[in-house]
Order: sequence, then C-alpha cells, then structure tokens
Amino acid sequence: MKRRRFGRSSPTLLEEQIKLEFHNSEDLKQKTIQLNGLTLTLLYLDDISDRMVIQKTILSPLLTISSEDTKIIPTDIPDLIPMAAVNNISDHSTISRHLMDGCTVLIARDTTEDHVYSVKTTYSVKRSPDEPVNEPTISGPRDGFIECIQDNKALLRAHLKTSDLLFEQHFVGKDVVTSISITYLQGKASETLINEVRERITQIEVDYITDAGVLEQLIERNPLSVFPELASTQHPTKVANALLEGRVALMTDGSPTVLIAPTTLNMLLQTPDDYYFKWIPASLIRLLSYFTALISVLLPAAYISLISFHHGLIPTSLAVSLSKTREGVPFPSVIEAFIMELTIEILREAGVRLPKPIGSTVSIVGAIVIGETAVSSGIVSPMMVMVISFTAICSFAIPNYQLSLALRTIRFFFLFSASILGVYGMLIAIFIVTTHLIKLRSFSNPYMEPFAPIHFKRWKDSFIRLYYRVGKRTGI
Amino acid sequence: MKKGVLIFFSLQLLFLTACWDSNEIEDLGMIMGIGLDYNESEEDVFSMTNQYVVPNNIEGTQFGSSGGDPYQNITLTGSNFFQIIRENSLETDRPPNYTHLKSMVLTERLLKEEPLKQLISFFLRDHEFRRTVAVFITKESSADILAVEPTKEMFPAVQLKELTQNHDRSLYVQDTLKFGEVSKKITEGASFVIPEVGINKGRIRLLGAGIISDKSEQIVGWLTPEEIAGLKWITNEVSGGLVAIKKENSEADQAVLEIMKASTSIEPVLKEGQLTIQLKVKSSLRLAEDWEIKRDVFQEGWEKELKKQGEQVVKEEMEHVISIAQEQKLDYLEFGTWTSIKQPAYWQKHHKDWERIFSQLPVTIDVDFTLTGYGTQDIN
Repeated sequence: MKRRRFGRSSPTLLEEQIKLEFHNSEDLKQKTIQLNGLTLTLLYLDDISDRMVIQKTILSPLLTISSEDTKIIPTDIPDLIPMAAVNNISDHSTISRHLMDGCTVLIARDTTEDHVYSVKTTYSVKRSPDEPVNEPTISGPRDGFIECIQDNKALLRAHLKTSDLLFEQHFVGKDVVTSISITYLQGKASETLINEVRERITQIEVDYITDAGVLEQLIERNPLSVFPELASTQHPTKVANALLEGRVALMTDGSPTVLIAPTTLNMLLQTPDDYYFKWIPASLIRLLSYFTALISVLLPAAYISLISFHHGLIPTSLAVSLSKTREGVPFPSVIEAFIMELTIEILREAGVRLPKPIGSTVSIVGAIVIGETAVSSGIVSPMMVMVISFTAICSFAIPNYQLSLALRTIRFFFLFSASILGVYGMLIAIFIVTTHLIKLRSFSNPYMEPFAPIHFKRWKDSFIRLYYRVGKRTGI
Repeated sequence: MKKGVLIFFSLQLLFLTACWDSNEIEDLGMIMGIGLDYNESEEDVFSMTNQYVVPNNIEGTQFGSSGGDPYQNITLTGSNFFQIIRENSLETDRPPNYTHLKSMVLTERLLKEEPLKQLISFFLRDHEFRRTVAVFITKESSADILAVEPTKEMFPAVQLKELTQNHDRSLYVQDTLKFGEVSKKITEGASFVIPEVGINKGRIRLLGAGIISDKSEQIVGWLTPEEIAGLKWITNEVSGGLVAIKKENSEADQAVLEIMKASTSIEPVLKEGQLTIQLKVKSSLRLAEDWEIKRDVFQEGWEKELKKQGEQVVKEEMEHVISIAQEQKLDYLEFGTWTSIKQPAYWQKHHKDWERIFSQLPVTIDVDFTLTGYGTQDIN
C-alpha cells in the first residue's frame, strides 16, 4: 500500500497535503469555517457525498453553536454533530480512503495539533438487490448481492441474525485499494481455515482487483486445474448456508459475487432448492444433477468410442439404423463430433455476448442451422446432433456455472482420448480426472469429500438428501 | 525444461497413433447370419453364406429411398472357412464384421461328412463371434434357409433366432441353442440336440431337432416335434405350452390343458449297486379348451379324470423319448450329467461304461398335475 506520512512536521497544512494527493482534483471540495477561535476545515468529494446531508448534519448544527458565545475545543466536535458515526481518525494516512468512501473529513486545528474526524455522508447510485440472473431459484429467498459491500453485509445480516457473524476487513491492491471482507460464523468455522484464508489474502501482491473472479484466481493454489477451488454465488442464502456449515465467505467491494471457501464437488452440485422441498423429490433432483454432470462429460466420448471402435457393444437394431444414418456423412465421426461441439460452443458464446433483444436471433439461426440444414445437407448425422445437443442441455442443467464451465472443458479431453483409443482411452481419461479430483485440495480440504476420503455419515447429504431429523446439515 | 521436452515427446507417442484401430460403423459389413454347407467339389469342399446388412435399403428413416432387400447373401466356396471369409473381400468393399451375428445354420449333409468340433473350430477361436449366436440344423441347403424372405423382421437371420423365443408358448419349440452351449456340450463330451429348421410354403418353420452323437460328433438321427415335447419334459425345460387329451386317452371328447407352471426333478438313485433314474414332474395347469358336453366344472372332483388322463399323456411322451434314446445309446437326456453331480462316486467308477449302462437304465416316471381352474368362465 502506498503510504504517505502527514503530520505536524510537514511544511504545509494537512488539507494541502491531501489536495496534493488528489492532484488538486476539482471534485475534492474544501470549506473552511471559523468557530469561536477554532478553524474547521471540511473536505469531501463532491460527486459521492450528499451535499444536503453535509448541510443538515454538519454545517447547520456547528454554525448554530458558533453564533452562541461558548468556546469550542476540537474534542467537542463529535458531540456537536447529530450523526451516529463520527469517527476519529488518528492515522492520517487513511484520510484518503475515508474520502473515497464518501465521508466528509473534518480537520479541527488548534494550536497544538490537527484533530481529524470523518462523518459518513455517502451518496451513491445503487442497484436494487434483485434475484441473480444466472442463479434462478424456484422457491426460497429471491434477493441477490449487489456491487456495494456495505449493502451485501446488510443482506447477509438479514439472513443470519446472530451475533456470531463476523466481518473481518482487509485491504488489497497497491494502486487502487479494494476492501475485502472475510466473513464467518465464530464457533462454526475452524480457526485453521480462517487463518489460511487470512494468510492467502495478505499474501496478495497486485496493483488492483476488479472483481471477485480475479480475487478467486489470486488466492487459489491450483491454477492448472479446471475445477474451481472456491465456489462463487450471488445468493445471500447460499452464503448463509455455507457459513452455517462452517465455511468462510469472501466479499469483495464492487462485486456482486461472493466467494465461498473451501468448496467440494458435492457442494457445487447442490442448489438451495434441494433443501426447500420434501426429501424424496429433492433427492431425485440431486441424483439427476449428478447424472447430468456425468452425461455432459461422457456422452460424446462414449458415442464416439462405440461407433468407431466397439460396434459389438451397440444393440443390433440400433447399430443397423446408426450405420444407415451415418451413410453418406463425409467425415469420420470424430471430426463430426468436433464440428458439432464447436458449433454449439460458438452459439453459446454468441448467445451470451449478444444484447438481449437480438439474442433470440442466435437461437433461431442456431436451431435451423444445426437441427435442419446440417443434417439434410449431409454434413452430420442426425444421431450426432442428438448426442451433442443432449450433452449441451445436460451441461445447462448443472447448478453451478463454474462447474459447468470446468466440465465443458474436460469434455473435450474425454472426446479426444476416446477418439484415439476408444473405450480404453475414455477409461484412461476417467482415471486421470478422478485421480486429479481426489488429489485436489480446496483450502486444505479434500475436494471429493465425502466420497474420498469416505465419510459414509455425510453421504446423507450427497447423492441424496435425507429428511431433516436424521440428516441435519453437514459441516465441511 | 528437460522434463518438459520429455513430457512433450512422451505425449507425442499417444498422438502419433492417430485413430488407431478405429473403424467407422458405416464402413462395416455387418453380418447377421451365416450358413455353412457342403460343396460337391474336389477342390472347394465347403460353401459358406454370409448375410450382410445393406443399410441403404433399410426403410423408415429420413433418407428412405429404398429399393430391394436390406440384406445381401453372398455364398462362396473354399476348403476352409477362414479362407472363404477373406475371399469375401473380393466381392464386397466392407470387411465382414461378426459382432452382431444372430444365427448360424448348419446342414445335415455337412454334419454327416465332418465332425462338429472341427467345423466350429474357427468360430470358437475368433474373437468377433459371440457365444449367444443361435445354432440351427437343416435338411435343406443353408443358403436357401437364409434366403427366405422374412415377414415380420428385417433380416432372415433375426427372424430365425426370434422363432426359438417362443419356447414358452409351445412344447414343440426348443429353447435357443446358443453357440456357447454347443461348445460346452462338446467339451463335456455329451450328446445333444440342435433345433431343426425347414421351409414350409415359402416360410421358415421350426421342425424337430437333429441329434449329435458324443462319439462321432456328427448327426446320427432326428427327433420329431412331438419327441421334442417329451425331451423338454425330461430335461426340465417346459415353461409353457399345452397338454392335449385326445380320444384314445379318454372315453369322452377331447380336452386341452394349458401349462401354467412345470418343473421336473431328475434324481439318480443308487440301490444295491443298481442305478435308477427317478423323474418327478410337477405341473399346474388349467382347462383351456373343452369339447366334452357332460363335464360340469361346478361339481367337486371334476378335474380328477382330466388330471389322470393328462398325466398319462405326458408320461407316455417321456417314455417314448427315453426308449428311443436308449435304443440309440445316446444320452442327450442329461442323465449322465445328473449322475455325475449327484452320484459322483458311482460316476467315477462307471462313466467309461456309461453307454451300456444308459441303454439299460431303469427309469421311473412320476407325473403330478394340479388343475387350478377352468379359466375365467364356464358356459355349462
């Protein structure tokens, strides 16, 4: 962090120093008033401070008093301002941070020293806490985090009304300082976990952080893995649940995304909805999300290995009709699969990037191009279209977008292995990925828990979700 | 750095294989059925018919422009089967693939000339053949059998195999004889029967069965469909069908009983050095068709007469099959197998002499029927 020393020894006045730090920016406003022998200087950033609040809560009370005939000493200032939060700033290096938070800084100078106070007079434009677009839920709370860390903390407090909820503030960034809050429930989260998170945060050496996604990559320890080491969400309920399980959440100022550490594969395949419905249908939905995760990784690879290597494993009537539909397709099935996968991925990206009003065009063009023309022109076989689109739909059904992204990536690895060595290659790929997952640690916590290492008691909240009396929420 | 280069080159080994061993499904000559036959020629002793799938002629899919059969039979001759298969490549661009083989047809002529063990040697050794292939024997030429236009299935070979699926509907249909069982029986050194197919009015029809001897491993005789019924009762293979009581058995009109459940136990009993086979048949049946006017099913004891007559019919069928088997001295009734399991000491001592023992083996048959009802309604 850039630190400059201000103090009495400085040749110029404190306010001049601050102005210099802001390069005499025009929106840094200064107002000096004389209060019965006391010089009071107000500093605030014009655009992010509310002038009406400054007028009502600082200027008018002080000016009323100054018209009386009492002597005002600097330490009286907090008592004179009718605001709850008047902070005494003893470390003058933090003045600029207070200014940037929208506070008004009061410098009261008497003969011996500068007394600095900050009063919160923030004025900012904020989004309302709407439901997160990429994490819709069927039932349950619909609020979502926004870009302001204070409001996010408030949202979380509203969900977790307990005095054990602690926010630990940290500042990261050399050029631009971003505040990050380590959030946990005292007594639930283990001390070693909190220490590890704290340690990783303090180790960050970076100029600035733009989003929680950047923070995630800065504190993870497996940069070569495709699997997310921290779960990210915009749902206060998800964070609240994670905190209750003894996890730690990281809030980043300016980002609606909150990171949760540690994470497990099991956790990434769960949705809050799983807990809101009765356990039998909820368990079936849970099983379904495991199934779709498997399908989205393995189906194209399995299809390729069956039709180009192990024809004997296909039921006869299917084999006959497959060989009929593949008749006249100019490419080997591997190339065909890659063409289709690429098309789907491009369509998907195009759908994300395009503005919403034109977005539907992509799906129409995509559906016609892929579904109709590609087949009737004989570039791909109908079965391949079915396999690839079913895989794509399965990957949409995965609850967590980070995980869906990771599985999309390794799907190509599986496809590639299967195209070289068939089922054998697919098994090698499964072996490699499984080994990697078992070895993976998220903040010293095994990624595949409770499957490896096995904790049978925790399986009641994995493939299935047992009813509440038996299966309480499991910890990490 | 050095490690990186090493990893890079090791990975190249994987990629350099390219799509090694890959073979697209549309480039396969899928074969559904094969027929082996004897050829009247000095040079090429055998002929072999391969039934290929012709995917383009399959109807009902998107590009349906079919004309012609969805299959093609190619019959070639040669002095051994492997050679004939390789000769197929002279006439078809798609190499034959036997992973979807459904049925195999052998001919009487072939099995009279050559032992089965040698005939199927190639097919047992090759990895593409499944042990579930259905095996048949015919008195016609195998090429003719495979050329019969199927009526309900797409391929003649599939229709052939599906026919034996009806073994739970009729006593005359033997269960599918799988290729794996043939190899098992040969290894055991037991006699067995192969289902017989023939052509009836341009349609494929299951007939009786051909008997393969354990000594020569050639065909030595035939069983009629009625004898198949007896054989099924003896070997505990009955799972459905009917028992018809005709005039000669009863004083009244005929009646037909449907078999609901049936089981047979074969018990070799050793008494004072003398082996006896005890067959106990237990079956539950119901009245399916009745031509007798006088019978009143609402009277208690209506089933007594039927039960006795039905038991008699089955007992006679079984006795008939046992007598012809003993006459031929061929144990395709599995008596030897059961003796070796239940009386191992006796079998150890006498199995070399089994042929003689079998031909004089006393067999007691005990048939026990339970008549469970007369169906949903009786109009008397």
